Amino acid sequence: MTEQTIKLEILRYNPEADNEPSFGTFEIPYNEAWSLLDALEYIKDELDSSLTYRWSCRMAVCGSCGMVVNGRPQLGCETFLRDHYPNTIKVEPLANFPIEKDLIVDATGFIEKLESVKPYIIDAVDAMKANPAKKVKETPKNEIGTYNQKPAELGLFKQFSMCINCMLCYSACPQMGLNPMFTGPAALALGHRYNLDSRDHGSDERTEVIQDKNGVWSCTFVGYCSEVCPKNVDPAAAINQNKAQGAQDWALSFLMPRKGEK
Amino acid sequence: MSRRPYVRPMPANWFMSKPAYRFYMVREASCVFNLVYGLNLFAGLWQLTNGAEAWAGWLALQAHPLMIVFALATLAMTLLHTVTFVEMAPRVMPQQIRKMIPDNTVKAAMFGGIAVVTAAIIGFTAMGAM
Ligand code: SF4
Ligand code: FES
Repeated sequence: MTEQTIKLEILRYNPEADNEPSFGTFEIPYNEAWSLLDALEYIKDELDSSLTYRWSCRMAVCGSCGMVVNGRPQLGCETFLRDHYPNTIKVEPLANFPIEKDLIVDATGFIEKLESVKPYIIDAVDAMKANPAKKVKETPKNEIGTYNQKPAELGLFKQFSMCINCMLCYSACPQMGLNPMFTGPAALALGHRYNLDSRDHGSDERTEVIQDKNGVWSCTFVGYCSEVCPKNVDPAAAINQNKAQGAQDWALSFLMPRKGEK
Repeated sequence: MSRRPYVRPMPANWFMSKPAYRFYMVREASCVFNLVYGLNLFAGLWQLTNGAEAWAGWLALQAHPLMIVFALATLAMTLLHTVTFVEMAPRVMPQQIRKMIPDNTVKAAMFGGIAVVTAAIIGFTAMGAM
């Protein structure tokens, strides 16, 4: 009996031996139930133990296994062989990131960008520390010293908080490739998420990064980031809501120099 | 084990590499058609101020098959521009408003508005031609 097989072309790069990446081909047994991650595991166990890739949860929550599958950024654990069989599957590391080894990319820049938007709640006390001239009305706390939040207040930002930092959106974005300084979809959506939080008073402190030319203004609304996002974060919407807000603040700054100043 | 990260260059023709990018380029190019079409209209106005003969010349040029093809292409591109614009518009609205009004309502209102304005323009033009 001949076993059904499927071919995988994987972009390989070994920093100790190769000067540039090149494709390696593997033919493996076809199993209808296998995800691409299962296939990579099979290759690593049976064919080439040097194959290097990231993974953890195998259920689309950890965001480790982002890779480019036939040109589209996808989670390896959420991509199934049956959706491609009998065609060859071409697997590459995420675009717009330096390749560390095989399918592993260097995410340092991404982490720095996430940090740059101050992705934590800045309460009234901290906001006034940052800018003593500003009067900030504190969000009232409940009797046990935490904040209450209404479902509608949560609903305002919930979508933007679903991000799993898989970096698929960075791989999808051509502006990211053209301008590596671009803060990028996930980080800007994360900043927006905190700005929309009723407990937060830090939007002024995020403005510099968000409204920078490497912030939302590097985006041209290609929109592919939102298409590939596995969690429906719609980072393109987050970014472009900030452009609209920024343009409004800019116009206001002429009409009411003091009020519009942010 | 030493690190030697490899940075892949961005190909100059990146916009041809994915259907999503190609569609984006067509969407962005649609405004070029509108620009050229607008310039042509201004040229018409200019010729109108230059007397009957100049105006007739401009009108004759508009009847040229290539100009008609261009006008049709502009129409198609304008429709694409309109549809993509309306599709994207609700997502750009402030999140607070977006949570109050469903995206489809906004889109319907925008398409409705565009339909009314278009009908009005066509109506006035038809009345003027009578
Ligand atoms: S916004 Fe979506 S695509 Fe981007 S990192 Fe977050 S989950 Fe991934
Ligand atoms: S392995 Fe965790 S998201 Fe795929």
